[in-house]
Amino acid sequence: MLRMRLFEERCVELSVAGEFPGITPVYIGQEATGVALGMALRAGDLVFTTHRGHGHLLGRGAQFKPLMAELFGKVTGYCQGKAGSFHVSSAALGVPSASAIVGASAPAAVGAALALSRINPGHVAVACQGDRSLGEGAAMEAINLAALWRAPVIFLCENNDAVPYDVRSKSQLATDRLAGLVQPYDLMVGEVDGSDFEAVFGALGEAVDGARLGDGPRFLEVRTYGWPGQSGPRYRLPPALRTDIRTAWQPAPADEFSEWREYDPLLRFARRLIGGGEIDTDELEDMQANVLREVQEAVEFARESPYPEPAAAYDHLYA
Amino acid sequence: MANYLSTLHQTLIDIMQADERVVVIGNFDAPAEGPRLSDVFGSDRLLPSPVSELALAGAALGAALAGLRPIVTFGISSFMFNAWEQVVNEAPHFRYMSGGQVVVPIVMHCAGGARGAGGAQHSHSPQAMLWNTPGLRIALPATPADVRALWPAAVADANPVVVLDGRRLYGTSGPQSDESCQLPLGRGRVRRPGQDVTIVATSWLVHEALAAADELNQLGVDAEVIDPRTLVPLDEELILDSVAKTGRLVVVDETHLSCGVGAEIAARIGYHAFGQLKAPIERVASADAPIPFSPALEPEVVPGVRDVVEAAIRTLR
Repeated sequence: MLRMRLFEERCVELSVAGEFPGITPVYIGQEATGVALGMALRAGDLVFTTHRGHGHLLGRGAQFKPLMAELFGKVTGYCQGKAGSFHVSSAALGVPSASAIVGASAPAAVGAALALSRINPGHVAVACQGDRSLGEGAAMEAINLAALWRAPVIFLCENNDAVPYDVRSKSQLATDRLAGLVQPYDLMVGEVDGSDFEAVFGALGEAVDGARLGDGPRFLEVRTYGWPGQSGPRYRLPPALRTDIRTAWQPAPADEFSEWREYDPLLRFARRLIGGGEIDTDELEDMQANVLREVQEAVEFARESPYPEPAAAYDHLYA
Repeated sequence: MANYLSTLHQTLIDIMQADERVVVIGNFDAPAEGPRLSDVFGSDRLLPSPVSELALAGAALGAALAGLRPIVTFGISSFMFNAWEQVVNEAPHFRYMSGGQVVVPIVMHCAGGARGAGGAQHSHSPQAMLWNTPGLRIALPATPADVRALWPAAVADANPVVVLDGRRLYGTSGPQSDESCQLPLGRGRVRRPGQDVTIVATSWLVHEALAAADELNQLGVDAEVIDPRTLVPLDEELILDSVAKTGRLVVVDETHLSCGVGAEIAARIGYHAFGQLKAPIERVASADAPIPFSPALEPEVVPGVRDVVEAAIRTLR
């Protein structure tokens, strides 16, 4: 979680500074799910991610350098600069595609799940989607198809507008209970608090194991807090919003971000580990320093990496 | 002689028996005679498919990424528009966007064109729109022999391939095997050799062009009819060789005139064969109007033998 957070806070900085071409959607606030996903899956399981996929990739073991280089559009990136943040994928890590079209990953995951049940039984596919995907036909068609086919697929619906449920959400779907939209189909439906890592890991693990054992598709809504650094396409990262692991045990100022700090899955899990005596604060501080150093190395690697040659625009068009 | 649709089923049966990774998503029209897919395979190979073209196309894409060789059919070509996002914005992009990490070996099929009273919403010829989408291959088998040749090549291809049948071909028959058809995707076929004018035609209109060539013959005009068989890749060389001989070109296709298949072929050949052309290139296409329902109106918009003959004669004036 700390790795995802510090990597992406740097992404926000670089994005605001104009160093990234294009748009860089971040996963901040959803890290518990990305980590749980990586832990719940095995080699051979497939994840179909979206334009908000950094956390899914890092959860499955992505390295900072090729990921950062991809966001810069450099040839050393996971996709040789053809993907950017929106489409970055790694087939070797079991994330063979990233669609930036809302809802579009869901039917692909259903087809992959069906294929896995034939050629690699005991494996599952995961459809990553956001809350708004349920306004798209593709997502709802996929749920029907998965239920008809009993495909071993998990619809991992990350509702990053769940808390606080605000005006922008209300203008998108005429319900705030996403699981309720899906309930009438013939599949198991669950809902979990995305700020509680252990709860997410438990629920996602149960869903993955169930699909793996052949009891059909699952839908899991993970309800997370909308990170206050993002407002529409615009980012801000004032010093008070920047993550400092020390706020897990030291008092933070009472400010507009106080509520976020209560929900922040990273701080919450850190508090839980410290409270249980499973980690001490020095270790966490060292961890933070090490990750920050690694992020800095990735940024330098990406900056120094070459862009693709112009002729590369015509590579990989046809196999 | 074998019926086109019967040949399609027999070809798919053969392909699926030879490669168990091949599955069919969606429902093919059933032939009146001969074995049907459903006589041979059950729901493990012919996946139960609801009316959800968008999800079916996406599922085919995902199944391909996971190692199967899916064939998805939308039935009538107009229904492909329900799946359009997956067809033009997902399938052709994954290999490219991933920097070559993955391949997407899927075949997307539909039967299109005017069908007799299909009206505006069931008569589409989407091949020009598809051709404007880099990353797809496009095959248009015009005869049972072409079905026999192109389908195995399409399924074996590592890229998304769209196979478009002309709906009116389903009632036609022809020889099933033909040595000259055993070619890879991207190789066209001279359907009738001639000296005076080159007629390039696709799909159902290959047959109309051949009938037109017979009529032209009676008028003393010796037309060469070429079927490129695939638009991507396009066998430009075959067309250019013919135009070098005849100096005249008529392009016949059922897409609408503006930005249609004929427009692209005319532009390419016009550029490369400018010095050899003795007359402006003629395009025979559907008019820029929806395909109307009435039997009195459909032939007005959709091209046929008469249009081809008249266009050929214009190049000879």
